[in-house]
Amino acid sequence: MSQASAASIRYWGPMRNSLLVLGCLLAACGAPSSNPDAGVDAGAEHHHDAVTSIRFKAKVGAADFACGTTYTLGTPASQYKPRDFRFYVSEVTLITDEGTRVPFALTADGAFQSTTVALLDFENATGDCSNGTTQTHVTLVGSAPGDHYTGLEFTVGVPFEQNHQDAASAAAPLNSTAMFWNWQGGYKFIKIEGTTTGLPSGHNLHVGSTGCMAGATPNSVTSCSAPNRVHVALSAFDPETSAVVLDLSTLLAGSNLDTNVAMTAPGCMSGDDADCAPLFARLGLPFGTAAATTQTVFTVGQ
Amino acid sequence: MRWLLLVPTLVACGAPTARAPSWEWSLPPGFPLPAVPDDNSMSVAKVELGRRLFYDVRLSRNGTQACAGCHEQARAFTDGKANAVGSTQQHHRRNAQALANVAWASSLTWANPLVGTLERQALLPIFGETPVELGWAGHEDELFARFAMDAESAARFEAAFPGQGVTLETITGALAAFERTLISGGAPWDRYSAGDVTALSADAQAGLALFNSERLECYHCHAGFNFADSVSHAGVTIVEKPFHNTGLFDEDGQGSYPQSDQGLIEITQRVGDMGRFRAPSLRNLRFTAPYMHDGSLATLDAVLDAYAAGGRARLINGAPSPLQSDLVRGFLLTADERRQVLAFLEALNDDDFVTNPALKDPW
Repeated sequence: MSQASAASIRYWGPMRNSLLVLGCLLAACGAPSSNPDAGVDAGAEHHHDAVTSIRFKAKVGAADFACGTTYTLGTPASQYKPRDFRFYVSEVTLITDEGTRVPFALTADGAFQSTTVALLDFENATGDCSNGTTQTHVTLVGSAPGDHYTGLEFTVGVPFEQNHQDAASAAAPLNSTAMFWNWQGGYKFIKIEGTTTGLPSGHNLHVGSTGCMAGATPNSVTSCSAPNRVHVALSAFDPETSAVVLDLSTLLAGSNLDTNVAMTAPGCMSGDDADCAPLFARLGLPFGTAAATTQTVFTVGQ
Repeated sequence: MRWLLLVPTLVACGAPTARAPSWEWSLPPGFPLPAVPDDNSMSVAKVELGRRLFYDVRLSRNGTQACAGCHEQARAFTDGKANAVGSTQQHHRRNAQALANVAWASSLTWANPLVGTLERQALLPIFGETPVELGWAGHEDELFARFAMDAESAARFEAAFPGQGVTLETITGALAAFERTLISGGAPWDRYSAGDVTALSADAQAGLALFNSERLECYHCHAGFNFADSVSHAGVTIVEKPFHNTGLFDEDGQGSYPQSDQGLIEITQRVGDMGRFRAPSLRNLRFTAPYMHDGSLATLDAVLDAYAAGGRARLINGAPSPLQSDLVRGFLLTADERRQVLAFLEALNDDDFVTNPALKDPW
């Protein structure tokens, strides 16, 4: 009996702790004004609070993204019902008006953030997102000393050193099995899915590293020819007033969401699937003979 | 070297609790000690838990399918279908793999050098989404709860993994431990190679000679005790993970395989890896039809036809694929020789393996 109860308690361990997350979010939102002494630079003309949060927003054009809503997206226009919307970010860096790069140190919360990687999660398990989680995570919680920040850079993706670890024993947020991508030996960096008029069983955008080479020891990876990490550099970003906006309509604008190249994965699961071309172009990722460009789906908003 | 490292692991694992007896391999003659990950040493309790999980339909989210749904013992742990079907009735693009001697596989699945242990492989059917197999992506908490709330299962997890509970590591660790006991070494050929020359008929012995001939070239990829070249064991320090293009497809004269399944290139993105797959073991072929990664050849005669032609694509197109292995050259077999090769392959069937009570459904 004691064995059974020990095991039954144990299974709660990996669960997302919604109260903890909620607490963190509330604290983060309240922090900038409630901590006036932090980050004061003795020689500074202006006072700048420490930065304790960076807000993200998922939009579809002017509207806020929400599971359960049907959107008109793609070219030609298709009716798109969201099924999932999550992505990993890392290497979050604030840029001062003098061009100094200051890391935004993530606060580990045991659910959506480690000190180096965060899972941003805009689905809430409603509507067709029923395979998701009720908890969302739309604001990075962490810290950077007060300064006059005018820019933000981050990477959409999991750092190489962590991407190919043993997912079965990985700590949060790399323990989300929805983001496992075991057949490619890593994680999906971006998982954005929806059902469409022409693809009622679903259009999937799964972006992750491909072309990975096995190392000498079992399960190890030495390098990937297509890392597929999205670099985002935003100017005119004020952490106190700005939010990072990901516009789904921009991301999907060049895609025919009603068709799928024959005999390829439904939608784009990276690799050399031609359905990926317009999506990768908007993410600034190289694809086939197309060189890397600048991503256009993340912008600065309010 | 690896064997010496294994010993303290076993001792360390067995010592603190004195409940988990150290594992004693019972290996057929000529079989090397399997490589076992340092963090998942073998034990009786793990193997038994793994066997129960392997056959437990609760391991699929909708409760309809166990691992054994696609890996039936009577079929040497295959399913008799060209393409496997998952718990939600989605069809897999590939043929369910035979699991005999999977403990010695240097890479798992049909074409993936990144999946090097059974523990890691288990994550694919459990969490795969394209297609859905067991259907657990995003629902791991429900998976853990299902077994943790069941007293008998929880007790077995505790016995196998004291203090660790139901986790991905303990689930995949137990499945891997059981799978390492799926050992097939009781075929007539095994008796023959152990010294019993009467175990192979004259036809089978002639077939063995053909199999090992430079005319047929079979043995290059189907080498050694497991008749496969992607093999590793505890004594191996440099693990080899070979993959081969057998000229099964050539859609465009450039060697392309159908876009639905192009093999190793899907992982490595290297042009030369188009159509390359892992050579499966040739043990227990009587039980494992249909054949090839896509189950597209129904009989061993059809397989021999494809290789005799120098690849099925060559049979269809009249020219070899530019990407196929240089060892798939084609050959002429007389009717007698074909009978002999088939007699040899028949001698690789292990009737005990497909009926071994230790590997049976315990439920």
